[in-house]
Amino acid sequence: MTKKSILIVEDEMITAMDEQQCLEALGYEVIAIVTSGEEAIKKAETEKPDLVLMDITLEGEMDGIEAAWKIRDDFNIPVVFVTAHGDKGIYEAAIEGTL
Amino acid sequence: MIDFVFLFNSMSEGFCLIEMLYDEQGRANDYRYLEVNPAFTNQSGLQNVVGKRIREFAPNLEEFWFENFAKVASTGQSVEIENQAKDLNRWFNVKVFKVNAHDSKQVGLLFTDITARKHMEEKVNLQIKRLLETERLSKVGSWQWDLITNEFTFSDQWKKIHGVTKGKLSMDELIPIAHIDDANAINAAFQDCLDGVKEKYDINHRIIRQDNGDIRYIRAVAEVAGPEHSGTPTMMVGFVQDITDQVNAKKSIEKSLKEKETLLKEIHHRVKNNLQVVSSMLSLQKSQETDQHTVEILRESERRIKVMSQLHETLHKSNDLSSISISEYLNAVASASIGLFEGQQPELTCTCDVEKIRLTISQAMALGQIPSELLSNCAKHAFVDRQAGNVKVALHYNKDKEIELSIVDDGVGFPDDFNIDETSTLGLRLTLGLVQQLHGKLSIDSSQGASIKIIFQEKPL
Repeated sequence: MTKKSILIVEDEMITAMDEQQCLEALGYEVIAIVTSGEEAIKKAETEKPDLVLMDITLEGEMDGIEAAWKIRDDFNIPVVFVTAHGDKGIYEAAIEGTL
Repeated sequence: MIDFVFLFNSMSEGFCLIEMLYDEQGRANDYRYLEVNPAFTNQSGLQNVVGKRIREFAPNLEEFWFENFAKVASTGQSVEIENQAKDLNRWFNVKVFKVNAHDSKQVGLLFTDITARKHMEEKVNLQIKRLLETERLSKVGSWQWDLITNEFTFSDQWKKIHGVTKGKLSMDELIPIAHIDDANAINAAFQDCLDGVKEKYDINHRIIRQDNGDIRYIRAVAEVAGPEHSGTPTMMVGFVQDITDQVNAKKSIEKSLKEKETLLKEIHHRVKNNLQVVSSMLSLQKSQETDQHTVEILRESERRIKVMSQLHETLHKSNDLSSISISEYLNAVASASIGLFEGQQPELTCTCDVEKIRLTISQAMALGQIPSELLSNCAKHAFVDRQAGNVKVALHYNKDKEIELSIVDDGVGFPDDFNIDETSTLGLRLTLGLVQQLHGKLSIDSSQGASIKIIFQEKPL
């Protein structure tokens, strides 16, 4: 059976490498680790992963919420937010699509 | 002998001799023109008036004209009137005088059409009104100092700002208004303008309000004026604005910012202390272990935490919390990383040659881990069967304004079949990940010992 592919969007590489190791141990394929929203959109378009794991605070102009909505709307790829921001404001922003 | 007829005919003022007309109650309500001079038509706008009544031209002429003319006719006391004749659509300045002592009904009128002047005055008054309203709304006061008469005049808003109630102040009365500690700066600014050193001044200073003694901050702008380009100033004009609220708001923001900086430093200090505790716990655990492999794992973890702790320590000591001095940080990182191998063989000597560069915290955090990982590798693999070794950490801008980090040792170099991209050791894998995070490039050279070079772009602070 083909492994499900995952794109990790995370600006702390050591955290991303840890996530990658866990996911690969669970039988998933991590197709790439990128550190900005802009890179995430490009990778999502070219690699068409089955899932994107998205941090919210990223490098560059675009935050994770904006990138996630674009990826979901443009490529119909599901996105799961992985973040240390546990407050209600961030949760609501993620639901509404703007930080 | 004076030729009065010539004067009468050639003067620019209008002149007319009139006879007052009265109603049944003896009240003046009209007058008849008996004689006019050539300038009359130009000044009044009326033609062919001799023998005719004014009511024929201006049926609704204001009563005050008749009242004043009749009064002069009866009392013989001349008057000068300035008013509007709405029916004639003009303003007049009229000198009314009695011309014939024996005729109680005749008066002479010497008059000038002042409509244009009145319109100009109205415009000027409107401008003044607007200026005063602008001063009131913007809380800007104005003043004027006549350098010839030494007279100092000021607007109502100036009075309000300075708590002055008098309409005029002498130069001596102005002195106590300036705050004594700012007096020299104010005098110097004035003098520079008067001496032509500067065209104008724009300074902030304190004043003492004259009504309650409060100290207020004002912004004062002034310049000299005089006959155009004469070089000799005759007037100084200025504006003042009470900026006490802005100054206090700025002080409050600065205080708040200072408090936040102190708080942030305190947080960095606590994070550093907490990481130090974690590092110490690992060290304690390490000292109880006998299994060399476990000791090695604990030492590596201790080192990595020390590197992170060092970043917070450097920030805690820094005056700038948004960036970090990379030379200070890398020296501390190298020292902490090498320190863990102290007393062991081989004995490492590490020299740091790091240019004074400030980096963002995120770049510094990623960068700091790299030499630590590579120094640890050196200690473990570079000097096999040797008692001592040298390693050099250098960081500089290259010719393309990129930052170049190099870690060079004089050890055995990399194995012949070494491919860093296929490495399985955690230290090198972390290094590659951190280089990716920096969007940098890594290259290795094994011609003389081992050399690893990393080039990356500096992020703007």
